[in-house]
Amino acid sequence: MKYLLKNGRVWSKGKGVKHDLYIEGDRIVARFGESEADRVIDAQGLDIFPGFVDLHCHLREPGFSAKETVKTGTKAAAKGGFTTVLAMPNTKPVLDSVWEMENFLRYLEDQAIIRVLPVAPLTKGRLGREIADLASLSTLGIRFASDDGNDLQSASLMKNVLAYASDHNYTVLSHAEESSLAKGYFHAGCLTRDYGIPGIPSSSESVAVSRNMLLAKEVGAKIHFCHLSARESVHLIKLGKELGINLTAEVTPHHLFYADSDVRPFDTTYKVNPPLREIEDRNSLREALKSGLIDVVATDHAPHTQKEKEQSISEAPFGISSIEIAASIVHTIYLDPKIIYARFCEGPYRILGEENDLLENQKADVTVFDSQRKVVVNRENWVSLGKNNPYFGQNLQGKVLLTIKGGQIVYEHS
Amino acid sequence: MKGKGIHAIKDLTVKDIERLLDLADEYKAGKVARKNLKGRTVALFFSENSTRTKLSFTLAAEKLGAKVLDLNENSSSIAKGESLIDTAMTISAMGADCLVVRHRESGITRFLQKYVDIPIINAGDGWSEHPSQCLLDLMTIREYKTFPGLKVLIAGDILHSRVARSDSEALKKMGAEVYLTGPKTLLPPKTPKVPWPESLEKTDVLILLRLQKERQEQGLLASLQEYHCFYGLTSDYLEMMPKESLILHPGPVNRGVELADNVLDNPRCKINEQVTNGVFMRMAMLYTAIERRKLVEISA
Repeated sequence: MKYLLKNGRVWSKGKGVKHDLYIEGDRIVARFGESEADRVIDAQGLDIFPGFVDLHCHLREPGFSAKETVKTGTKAAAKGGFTTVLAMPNTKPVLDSVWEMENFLRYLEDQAIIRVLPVAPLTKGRLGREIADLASLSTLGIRFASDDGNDLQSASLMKNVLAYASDHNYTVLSHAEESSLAKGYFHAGCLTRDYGIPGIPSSSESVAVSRNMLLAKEVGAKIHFCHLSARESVHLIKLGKELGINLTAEVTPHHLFYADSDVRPFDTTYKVNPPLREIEDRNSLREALKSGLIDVVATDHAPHTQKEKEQSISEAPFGISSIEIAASIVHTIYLDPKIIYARFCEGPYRILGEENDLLENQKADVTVFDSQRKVVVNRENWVSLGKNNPYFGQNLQGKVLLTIKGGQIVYEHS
Repeated sequence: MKGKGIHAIKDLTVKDIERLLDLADEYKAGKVARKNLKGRTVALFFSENSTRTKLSFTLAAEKLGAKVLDLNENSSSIAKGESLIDTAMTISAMGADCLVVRHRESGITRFLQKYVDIPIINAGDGWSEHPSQCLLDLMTIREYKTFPGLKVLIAGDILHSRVARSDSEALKKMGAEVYLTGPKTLLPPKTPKVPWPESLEKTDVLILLRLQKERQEQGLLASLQEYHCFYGLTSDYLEMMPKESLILHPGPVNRGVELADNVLDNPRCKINEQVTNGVFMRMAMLYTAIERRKLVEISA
């Protein structure tokens, strides 16, 4: 197929420049005659970005297909403008052998409508005991590893895992959490104080950020910090970068958008780990994302069934499902397409070690975004199986209108 | 919310609180005849040990002429949210008029109220609220004091105390000044504390909280003896307080921990009156929840 995107603002190498974009087959091409195009798309007033990358999502397969499937999860991601996502390994079973991973890669080929990069576990079964077969898994092209929600509690094992993983060119994704401090449901602050809810203090994250980055420094590993939530962590990331540690960091749309003062007491839709913290934390995260201290936005898309979320505060699982509106949430905060480009495209591609600048011969992974369009988040046309998010009814600005993966339209706003 | 109940002091207005206090006073004065619950059934579900609160609710219901249904299920299976919903719905379907719940999880009664029409009364939920204890505390205080400007000090394990949360909320609503103190390990985040024992000099009402023995094993305290030395009320400390001041404690008291044995005998110590008033206050709450449902406007 040949697509011509006319008159859009095309983002490449840090700038948005108005020109036409030609797609032929799965590639961007220099040009062709307008009459040759199978379809001409008027992109007047729209931003054309390299396809978004989400470094952190949960597609829930294998094992939890009532929450989400590869099919529904990638469809939701495509709606959110993503053409590549990293799928976290908290699945059942944990895919920690080459044989299981090969099967899953075949399953992805069949089911995923965008590119899914599975994340390997750091330890076998994510049990925090023995190092997973990271060398073997790297032969399948796996480049990221994480034990996700189970941060390794032993510092010496973490150090060894970081060393072992770096030997095979992995970037370790660190869900930084000192679990002995994290026995609660919401941020340890005014909300938990006033309502008598067990709280999760900021230190549960920041002490682990500090530990993990120093361990990474010592063994020369690449480390990427997931879903930062606390202002102390932001300070530590700054320090780590100044020390020359090979680290990057992400923040989720919900930690940028909400603070604990927005949480309705005992409402489990807001129950997420790490928890929504204070206004000062939120502002510090906003500032750090803007300056680039935090490199990327990643969604931590964590779908759950309604039944699971409608339990009591101790029983309901942590997580917010919002991959399909991630860019709208972030754009509503900054109202600056440059931030979307920098943190959904430039930053994540740099961490992936790939180039996508919508240049000739590059793969046609393209996201078309209307930065002016106002939307109300609506449950009716929600794509993900996970309806667990606090945004329904929320007014946002900015909307993905079209997502093209490898030259094929995988989402189009109707 | 489906039905309306009494879940939290946070939901009550000053007027709601005053009505409950007045009704409890009426019951205490022996005026029961018209405001009774004859033919009604009150179900009790206590999944946490609490002999006293449960007995108090039982007596209150019986004094009003209601039948009491004791769901004496202590098994952990029923204490889980889902089976709890089933239990509450069954009790409601069977025609009980009110469900009184004690549970270790904060917010559980609001959670259950979404599923049932009959009013639920919170008899203590986790660390969150304990409205009946709070209201009986207010009832006891009101017998001696007026609230505006009253200086109340709550001392002890504030972090884990639903009594502290309900009491400080209610007392502030009524115009009192509330101060908190206790070991830093037992204070919630962002909670300023006043010095102990110096603050006792200006304290009109001291509410001591029960210290759970497991706090020592949890690494929050050195020992109960040390707690007593540094945060316990001794007769010397009692002397520091104004002559007309009152001592309250939600019970049961750990003698020699929160307060010294001989303090218990002091007439300023109103712990027994609290227990007595508790029955009348719970009568008022049951009657209000069942017969005056519209009067207690609970915001969801």
